[in-house]
Amino acid sequence: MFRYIIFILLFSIENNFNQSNFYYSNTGTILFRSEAQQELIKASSSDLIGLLDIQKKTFIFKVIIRTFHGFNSALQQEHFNEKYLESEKFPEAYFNGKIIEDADLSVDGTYDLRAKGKLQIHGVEMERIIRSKAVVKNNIITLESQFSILLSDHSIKIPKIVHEKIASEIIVVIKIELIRKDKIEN
Amino acid sequence: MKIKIPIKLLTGFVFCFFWCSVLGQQPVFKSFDIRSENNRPRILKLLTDHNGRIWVGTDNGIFTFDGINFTKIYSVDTSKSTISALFEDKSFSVWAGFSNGKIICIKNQSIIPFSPSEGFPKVAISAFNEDDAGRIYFSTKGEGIYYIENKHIYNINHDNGLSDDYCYDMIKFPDQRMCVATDAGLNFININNGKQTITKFGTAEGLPDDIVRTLNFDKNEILWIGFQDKGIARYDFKNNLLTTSNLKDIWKYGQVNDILRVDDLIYVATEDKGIIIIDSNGTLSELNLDNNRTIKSNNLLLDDENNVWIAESIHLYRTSGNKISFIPLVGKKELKFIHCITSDKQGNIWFSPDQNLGQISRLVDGKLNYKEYSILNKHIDIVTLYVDPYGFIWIGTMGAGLYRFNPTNGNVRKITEKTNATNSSILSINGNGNIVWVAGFNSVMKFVIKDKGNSENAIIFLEPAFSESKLLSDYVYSVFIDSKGRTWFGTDGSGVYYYDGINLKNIPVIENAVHSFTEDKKGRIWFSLADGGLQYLDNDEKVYKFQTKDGLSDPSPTSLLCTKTGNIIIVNANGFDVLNPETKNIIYHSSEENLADLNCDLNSIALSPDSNVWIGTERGIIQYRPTYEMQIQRPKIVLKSVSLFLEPIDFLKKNKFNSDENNLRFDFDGLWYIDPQRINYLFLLEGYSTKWESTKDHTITFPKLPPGKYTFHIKASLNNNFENIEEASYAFVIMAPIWQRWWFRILIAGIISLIILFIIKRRENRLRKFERLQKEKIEFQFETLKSQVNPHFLFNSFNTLISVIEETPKNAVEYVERLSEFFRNIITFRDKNLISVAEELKLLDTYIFIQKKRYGNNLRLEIKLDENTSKINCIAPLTLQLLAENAIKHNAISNESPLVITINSENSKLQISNNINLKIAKERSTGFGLQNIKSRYELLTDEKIEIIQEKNKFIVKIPLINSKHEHTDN
Repeated sequence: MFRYIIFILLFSIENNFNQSNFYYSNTGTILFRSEAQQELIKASSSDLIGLLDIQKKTFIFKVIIRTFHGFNSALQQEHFNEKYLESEKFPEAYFNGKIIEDADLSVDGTYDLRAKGKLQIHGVEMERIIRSKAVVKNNIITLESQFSILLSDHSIKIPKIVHEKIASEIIVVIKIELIRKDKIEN
Repeated sequence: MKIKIPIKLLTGFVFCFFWCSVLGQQPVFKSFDIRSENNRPRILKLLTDHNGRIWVGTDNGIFTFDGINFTKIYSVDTSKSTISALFEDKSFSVWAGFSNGKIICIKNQSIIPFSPSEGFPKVAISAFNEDDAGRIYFSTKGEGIYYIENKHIYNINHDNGLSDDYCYDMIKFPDQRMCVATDAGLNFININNGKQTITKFGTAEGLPDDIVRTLNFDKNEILWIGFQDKGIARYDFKNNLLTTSNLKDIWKYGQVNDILRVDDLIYVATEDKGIIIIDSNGTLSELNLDNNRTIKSNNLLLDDENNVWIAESIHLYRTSGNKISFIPLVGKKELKFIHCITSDKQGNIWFSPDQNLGQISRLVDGKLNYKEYSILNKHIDIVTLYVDPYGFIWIGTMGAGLYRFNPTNGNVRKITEKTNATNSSILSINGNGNIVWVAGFNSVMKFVIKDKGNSENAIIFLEPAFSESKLLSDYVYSVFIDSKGRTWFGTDGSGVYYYDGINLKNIPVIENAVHSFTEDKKGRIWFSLADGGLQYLDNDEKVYKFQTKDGLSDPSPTSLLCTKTGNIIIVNANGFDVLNPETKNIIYHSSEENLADLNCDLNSIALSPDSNVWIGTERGIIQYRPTYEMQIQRPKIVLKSVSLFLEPIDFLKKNKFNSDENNLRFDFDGLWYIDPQRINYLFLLEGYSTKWESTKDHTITFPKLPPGKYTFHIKASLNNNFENIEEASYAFVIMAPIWQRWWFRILIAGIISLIILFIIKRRENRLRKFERLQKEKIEFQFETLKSQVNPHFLFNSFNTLISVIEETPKNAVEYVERLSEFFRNIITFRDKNLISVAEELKLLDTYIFIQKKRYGNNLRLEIKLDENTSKINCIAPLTLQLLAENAIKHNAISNESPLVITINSENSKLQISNNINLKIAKERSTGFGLQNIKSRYELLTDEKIEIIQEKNKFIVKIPLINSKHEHTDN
C-alpha cells in the first residue's frame, strides 16, 4: 500500500523532473527511548523512508518495525517484535499528512514546522501534530524531530510485571536528509 | 467587488502576560463523575440549554445533569464513536455530533432521527451553529463544513475555497458570517441567496498560529481565539481589531481546547496543563483543583448561576468561578484562625491570623502580597480592627486593652488615656470622623481624636459616652454607625440601643446577645442575635424577624454586611447566606461549596473599596465578588416530562386523556447547581386537591385519577419559603368515561325512548292490523257466503244437476258430492288466514269440476306446479277460486274460444293467467273479489299482488308465503 501511495504521489503531477517538488530518502534514522524506573531501553533503525512534496506540503514517513535494532538483549528484541508491536501483523509504522506552516522549503534556510497527519503504529492510527526543524540547503532538506508516543494511544499493552521496565511514554527521535528527486530511480 | 478584510492587526502588544507561580486564589469547587454501567465515561462536551439545564457529552453517550444525578438521554458504544459536538438551536433542539460523523437531534428528551439522503460525513463532527435563516451548520474534521437546508446537506470544502478541510470549531459572528477555525487559519463564510463568499484569514494576515482550535465570543462581542501552539488572542468585533500578545512566545501549556471569559478572568482549557486562568492584570495561574494534575481539560461552561464548569477526563468540576475565591495561603503563609478582618481605604485587607496582625495587599502585577506584624505579645487574641480616617489601625484585644497601630512604620501605641481599658476586653470598634466608639465587656467608651490624628502621638480624649443616660448592660458586643449618623449598640441582655447625639433609645430584644449590625439600602437596620436569627428595624420603627423558618440557614449568624449591590451577607459557622432584603429571597453558600467549618468570629466580614467582600475564617480568607450576585435567583423549575403509565408523552401537545389513561407521573427538576440538595418542592394538583404538598423527590405519580379537569403546579425553593416563586404548571383533562358524558347520556336516553316508542307503535300496528284482518275476514266470509250462496250460482248448479240427472244419473251423485265438498271447503277455509297451495288447488279443482259440467271442455285448467311448491307454500284461502270465478264470470266461454286458466309459479309468486274473451254483455260486478284479495295480502305480506292486463291475457301474480313463516293468528 505504501509503495502504491508513493507511486501515486510521484506520478500525480506532470513529470517535469527538472523542477521537481519531491524530496526523498530511505536512509533516515529513527530512534526510540523508553526511560522506565528500572530500565532504559533504546533501539534505532536507519531505514526510515521519507517522501516530501514541498509544493503540496504533503509527506509520508515510514519504517519497517523489524529493522529496529540495538536492544539490550536479543530476547528484548524478540518481545518487541512479537509481543508488543506484533510486527508480523503490523509490519510497518507510518506518519503521513500535511505541513501546517506556510514555509517555502525551496528556499535555503531553517524552519520550524508542524506536521499534521495520521500516525499509525501497531495498526492504530492517531491524529497527531508533530513539530520538527527543517534545514534546507543545496536541494537537501534535513529534518529533525523529537516527539513522544503514549503506548496506550496505540493499544500496545504492557503486562503489569514489566511496568517498571517499560515507560508508558516512549520518546522518538528522527533525523532524515531528504534529497530532491529530479529523476525517479527504479 | 470590494473585499472586506475581516480583521486588521494591531501592531505591538497591547497586553503583556506574567507567569505567576504562586497558587493564591482558588475558586471553591466540587467534582462529579458519572457512574454508568460499571464504567466511568470520559466527559468531553458541555452545554446549557434554554432552561439552564446542563448536558454532558461523553464517550459513552449523552446525559443531562441536575446537580446530583446524571440521566442518560442517548447511549453510544465507546469503541465505535464518542461525542464530539453539542449544540442547542433556536427551536430548543439539541444537536449532537459524533466522532464517526453521525449526527442526532434531541427534542423534549426524545431522539428525532436525522438521516440526510446524502449520508453522514465520514469524519468527526467538530461544531454546530445556526444562522438567522435557521440553517444548521456543522463543521467536520476533514470534510470542511456542511449546512442543512430543506433536509438536504450541502458541503463547503477546500474545492469551494475553504483554506483547509480540517475544521476544529465554528462560531457565528454578529454579522451572520460563520467563522470556521481550521488547520490553515480562519475562514469567514457568508451564504446569501445560495451564493457563498469565503474569506480566509491566516498567519499571512497576522494570526499568530495557523491551527485555530477554538473560538468563543464573550458578552462584549470579544472573540477569544485559542491556538494549537500559540496560546490565545482576542478579537474585538465592534472595533474590528485583533490583539495578539507576548503569550504566543511564552505559551507552554499545549494546545488550547476551550476559552471562557467570565468578567475579568479568562479560563483557558489546555491540553497539557489543565485550566490556566488569566486575570485582568495579565497574570497567568494554573487552576489547582486536585493535587497538581497536569491533565487535559476538554471543555468549559458558564451556567446561569455563574458557576464555571470544567470537563476533564472522567470528572466534571463545578467551580464558583470568580464569584467566590478561597485564599488558604498567600505566598507560603497559611492563613488560619482569622478572628477579625477589615479593609483600609487603599484596599489592603487587615486581619488577625494566629494572634498577629496580617495585611494582604495587591501588587502592581495583580499578585497578592502578605505582610505580618508581630506587634503584640504572642498570647493576645485580636478581636476587632478598625481603620480610622488617618489610616491608623485600632486594635481591640481580648483582655489586653486597646492599641493604635501605624501601618507606615509598624509602630503601635497602647491607648491608656484616663481609661480602665488597660486590661479590658474589646469586642467592637467603630467610628465616624474623629469619634471612635469602643465597646466591650466594660460597656462603651467614646474616644475623640482631638489633634495630630495622622501621627502616632495623636491627642486622644476619652469623653463621656452619653450626655445623661447609660446602657443597662455592661456587655456590648457590637457598635455600628448608620448612614444617619446614629450610633447603634448591641448588648447582651438589654437589647439594642441607638444614640443620635442627644438621646439614647432602647429597642428591647428578647433574645440575649446582639452580635452584629448592618444597614440596607432602604435604611433598615438589621442585627443578628445569638440563637435568634435576624431582626430588623424598619422605617416604621417596628422590629421584624427573619428566622430559620423564613429561610435563614443558621440561627446564630456571627457577622452581617450589606454589599454595594444591596444584598445582605450573613456569615455563619458553615458558610454564608446572601439575602435580598426587599424580596427576602435568600441563597446559600455552604458545605456544597466546601465552605463548611468556617467557624467565623464576630467582626469577620469586611468590605473593600473595590466592592469585594472579605470573610475571615478558621481556614483562610474568602473573597466574594458581589458583582456576581445579579439579582438573587430562585432555583429554576422545569417540568421535565409527563408519563402515562410510565411511558413519557409529548406533554407540550397532549393534554387530553381518556378515562382509562389515568396514571400520570410528573418528573421535574429544580435547577440550582450551587447547592442542589437544598431544593424543596411544593406541588399541587388542582382539581384533585386544594392543598400544596412538599416533597424532596423529583417525581410524583398520581394513580387512578378520576375524570376531571386538572392543573399540576410545581414550585422549587431552597428553603421552606415559597412566596413569590415562579411555578411550572401543566393543565390537562381526563375525559369522563363515555357513559358518563352528557351527550352520551342524552343519546342513550333518546335511543331508548325511540325503541320504546317503536315497540309501542309496532304493537299498536299489529293490533290494528289484526283488527283489520279480523274485519276483512268477516267481511270476506260474509261476501264469500253471499257470492257462493248467490242464487245465480245455485240456480246454475241446480240446472246443471238436473241435466246431469237426466243424462247420466250415475254422475249426479258425484256432482252433488263435489258440490257439497265445495261448500264444505269454503266453510272450512273461510276462517283461516292461510292455507297451503295444495288445499287451495283441491278446492279449485272441485270448483272447476262443477263449472265444467256446464262448460264442458271449453273451460280448461292447467296447473304447472310441482308438488313440493304447492305443499310448502301458502296463500290466502279462496284466492284461486275467486280468480277462477272472475275469469268465468267476465269471459265468454264457447267452443270457438275456450277459457284456459293457467297456474304456475314464478320467482316465488303464483301466477294465474287466463286468456281474455270478454262477454259482450258485462255481468254486474261488485269488484269485491280482486280488491278483497289485495287488501288481505297487504295484511299478510309486504309483497304486493300484481295484476297485469295484457291485450288478450289477464295475469295475476300472488306472492307465495312460505308455510314455515306461516302466521297462525287464530
